[in-house]
Amino acid sequence: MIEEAVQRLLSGSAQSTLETMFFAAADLVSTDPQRPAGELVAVELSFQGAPPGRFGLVVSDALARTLAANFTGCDDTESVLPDQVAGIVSELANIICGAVLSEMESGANFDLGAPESIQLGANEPGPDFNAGSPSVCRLEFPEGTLVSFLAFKELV
Amino acid sequence: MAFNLMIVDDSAAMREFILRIITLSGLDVGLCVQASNGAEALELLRANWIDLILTDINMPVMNGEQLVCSVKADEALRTTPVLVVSTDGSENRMRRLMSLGAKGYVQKPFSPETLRQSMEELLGVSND
Repeated sequence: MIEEAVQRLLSGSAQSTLETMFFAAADLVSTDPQRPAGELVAVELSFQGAPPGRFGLVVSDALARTLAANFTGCDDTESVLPDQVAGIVSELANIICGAVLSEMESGANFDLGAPESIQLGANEPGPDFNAGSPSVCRLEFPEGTLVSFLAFKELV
Repeated sequence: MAFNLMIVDDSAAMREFILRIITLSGLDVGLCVQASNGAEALELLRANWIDLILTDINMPVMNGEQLVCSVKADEALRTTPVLVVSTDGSENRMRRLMSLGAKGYVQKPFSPETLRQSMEELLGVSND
């Protein structure tokens, strides 16, 4: 039951964040954890709270550029620098994770760690966000795919 | 009347996003000062007249809670309203920040309308 609630919260928070601050609405929503194809931007952050856990995000490079351009109000996705893209995808991870935890741990305190982002080549190994039976939200857009993972160290 | 604003956030991208939303909202903005943490904000507050501070909580060097406390403890700054803009929307955190002296709280993600309304309330701007 708790897993389903977390799943719903993750999906709702991811979609709401993307719609309100990144001006992007997903075409398809699922719980498929498979890594998107091609070059990716991955972000990982850990959080402390009751319980603590880990949040991960992988985004197709083209989608990451579009989201960064939307966030900065830039018309040309090519003019957004890679460092800016990484910073903005980190901010996206921070907001989605914070939104889920704010609902889950409304009466408690939690602290988000600093997000760490990495650029991954098409076949380059990346962090294993699937460890620990995470809740997963996969969002498909015309420019690519965004998959978010949330795993608690101990689910109460 | 143009308002002087301060945006405090360790993410440069978030500061620019907030500034863009404010600019698009049509609010009459004079000076808009940016700081990446509470300590930097305090220095700039002592050098500039600011009508409203928008601050994140989770920042290095000096966080948003410490900034709110420092502003409230400073004779010259204590009347400057602080609007917290944070990913942390837990009731505990909101209550704590408001009890420390913050005048408003906006949780990320926020719509441009939500931010504008909260700012207008604190600045006493009427939409009539």
